[in-house]
Amino acid sequence: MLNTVLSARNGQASGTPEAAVQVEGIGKRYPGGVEALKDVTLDFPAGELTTLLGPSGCGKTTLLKIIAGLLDPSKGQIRVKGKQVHGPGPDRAFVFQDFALMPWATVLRNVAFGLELRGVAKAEREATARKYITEVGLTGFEQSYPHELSGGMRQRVGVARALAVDADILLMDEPFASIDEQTRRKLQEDLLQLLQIEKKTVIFVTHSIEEAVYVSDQIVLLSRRPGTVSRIIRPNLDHSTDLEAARRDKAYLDCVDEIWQTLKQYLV
Amino acid sequence: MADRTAASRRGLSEEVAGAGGHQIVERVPSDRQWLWRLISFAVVFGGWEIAGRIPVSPSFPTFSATIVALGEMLLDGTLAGAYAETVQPLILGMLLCSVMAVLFGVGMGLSRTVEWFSLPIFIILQAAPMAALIPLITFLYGIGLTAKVVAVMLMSAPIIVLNSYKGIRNTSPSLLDMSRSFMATRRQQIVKIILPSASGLIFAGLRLGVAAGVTGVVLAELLITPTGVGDLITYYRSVAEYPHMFASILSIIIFSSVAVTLLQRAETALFRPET
Amino acid sequence: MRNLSKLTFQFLMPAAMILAVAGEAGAQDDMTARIALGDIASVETLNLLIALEHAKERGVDIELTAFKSEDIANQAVVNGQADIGVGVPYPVIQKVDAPIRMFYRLSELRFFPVVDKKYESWEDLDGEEIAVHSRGSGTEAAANIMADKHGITYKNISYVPGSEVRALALLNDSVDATFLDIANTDFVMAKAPGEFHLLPMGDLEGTDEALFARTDWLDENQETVQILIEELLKVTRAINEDPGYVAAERERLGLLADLPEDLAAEIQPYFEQAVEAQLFPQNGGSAEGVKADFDFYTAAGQLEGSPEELKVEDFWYLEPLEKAQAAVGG
Repeated sequence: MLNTVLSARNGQASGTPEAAVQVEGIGKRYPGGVEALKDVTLDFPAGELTTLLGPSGCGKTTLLKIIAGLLDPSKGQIRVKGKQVHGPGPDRAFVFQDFALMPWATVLRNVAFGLELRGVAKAEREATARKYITEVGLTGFEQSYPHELSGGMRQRVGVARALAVDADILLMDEPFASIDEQTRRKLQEDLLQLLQIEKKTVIFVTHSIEEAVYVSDQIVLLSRRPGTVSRIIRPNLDHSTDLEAARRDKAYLDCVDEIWQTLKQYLV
Repeated sequence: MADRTAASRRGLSEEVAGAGGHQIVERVPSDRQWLWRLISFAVVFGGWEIAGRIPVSPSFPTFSATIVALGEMLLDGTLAGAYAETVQPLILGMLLCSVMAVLFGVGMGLSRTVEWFSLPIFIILQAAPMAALIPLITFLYGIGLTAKVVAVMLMSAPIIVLNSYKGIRNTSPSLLDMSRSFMATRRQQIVKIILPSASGLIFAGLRLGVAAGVTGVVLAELLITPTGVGDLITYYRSVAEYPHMFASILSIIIFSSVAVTLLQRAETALFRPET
Repeated sequence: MRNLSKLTFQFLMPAAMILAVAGEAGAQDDMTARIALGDIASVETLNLLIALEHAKERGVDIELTAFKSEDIANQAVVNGQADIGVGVPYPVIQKVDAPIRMFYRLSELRFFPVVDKKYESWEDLDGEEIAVHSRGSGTEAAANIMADKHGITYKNISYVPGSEVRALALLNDSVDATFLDIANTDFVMAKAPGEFHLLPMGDLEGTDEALFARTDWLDENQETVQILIEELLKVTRAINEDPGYVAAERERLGLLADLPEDLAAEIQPYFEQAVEAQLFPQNGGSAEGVKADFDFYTAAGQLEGSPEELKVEDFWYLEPLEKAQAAVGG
């Protein structure tokens, strides 16, 4: 086991005042006996984008689903804004790797779906949905069905749906993993731009080092199964001036390399 | 349904192709589809005509003789009269069992308890040799309309139940997660996610169920008491009018295909805005 | 080229040899007869089984196959998978010109109109319902012939296939008038004594079951056919003489060895009644008998055209029967 530069405890100590989500001593053992996570303690600072990064099977998606309330932890607890939570809540919205769009519903209905479930009147929820459809750049596709859209467009629908319920915390599970490289870059840039307007706390799962470094304020490296926090890194890229330029930044390349050196040892 | 699962699977695996995505099966241009269909019909019916002309058996009529007989039976009202009789147990049986069977299948999909005690029954029923069971129906239900209705239900119910059940169970786990993450109640989850998602398989089950129901009613008409088309087949066979007998059999295939196609049209028109 | 000739040798030679052998076998009497029954062998087929057994003793190789239904058994004969069938294939011969001929009348048409006692005569059935086997069946023809004869019209003719099914229908009152076979008539009379009776049928003649075969097979197997008919005549006459002959011969030959006791006990009464009803024709058929068939089966809708214009030789091959009658005598 690697000695971490910044221990999880340090992270917690420095992040406590502004933590939107706190993960405390989370362990997860599946019914089959597989231990996915072991004693994970982490803080997710409010208004920041934190990435969970690690080798496949390290339990990063499991952790995200526990935070979302879709899975119950075997041990430990989750606090959202200081309050312990059980199950999903209106404060968190999920973006799925496979988009999870209803194929029988239009873009408009899909985006408004979270509000529909809450019983918001049709006119009101559709107005909200239209606003976010515009925000993610899908104006004109309101009446389209998911199968008529490309993968990138489908995930824009997924993001719009998550934004429409106005949750403070966005949980994104490898949102761009099933999208081609060029589109993915565009989506990453658009996401960052969107977050400048929306001011959300984002927990982002990815297996791409480049993606993690590019989009994150903070990167949490998880070890191999059972997943534990191995390191926390802050890339400190400056996205405010030029989104494109960040990818050529030396800090970006160094950070990618540093993470690669850490993760390499987990690969057999 | 095939389109539906293909679409969601496409979502998972390939994005390079962009909008539309690639098809599992090569797409034949629609203006040439009818040509291929025509060729396939020509091959089958041509083969039939040749087999009838050799003849493979003195009792095997040619395709042309069968079509002439079919035309005769259509024009003189024989077929209409027979089907007026055949559809009674069919419609009654389908009405009685389709609603029940869908509810049962949905129930089995949603509840482990219902699944536990009823899944084996329907799996056994589906595997059972119905042609062997139908004569036994007479022991319980006599030889009247009831027995035929029961035959229709026995044939179609297992397919409808198991398809509905599979439809419910095949609901995409990520759609379920999605509805949970947006805090759907169980009721909302069933009404807004599970049922629409299962509807494709449920409707496919209903279509297969109608086809099976047609088989059931014809079996009953052949094995219990000869009425409707079953009577036509039995009668024409007993008087060795083989073209008419084959025309009666052919009419069942046509009837069944037309019924299934109409159901599919109705489903697309009423429940499939996305296609 | 060499490959081709090798191929010819390997495949065509054996094929040619097989064809030659088959042709030869087909050309002369090989003393075998494959017999297709429309139902499993039972008490009611014992007379035939005994005759077949006797033919075996005279060197005919008999192969008996039971089919699901008479139709399928008949198709097996028409298509050459069996040699001899049991039934009355008039429509197949007339409509599709199947190359088959009947050559022996096994049993006479006998109808047993079992009706509720409330109907005292045929006239009482005017405006009432009667159940028959199926459309175009002998029972329907019999019902129509009796209606014509007595100037009555039924309210409705319902189709209930299976004598045993109609017997049950009589017993549970869903049917009040129908036709049954001997065995089921007995069954109904025993189950509900005094409730039903038989109406008179008058003299209705015709073939109920005949043996038939393909013409080419009849030509090529004359000796086999001869032996079969002779034995059938002998057995029939022995039965008509003494119905007890069947049970005794069954015992001696060990036929239907696995028949349950209660069914075995029915052999004697069944054949007694059959003989009393003159079910088995003493001489195995005749040209006049065929003419009677034409009348009946035309009325039944099984034959088309006018009965006077139908030719006996188009449906029957009576030569071997006549020869056998001469040989057996009497």
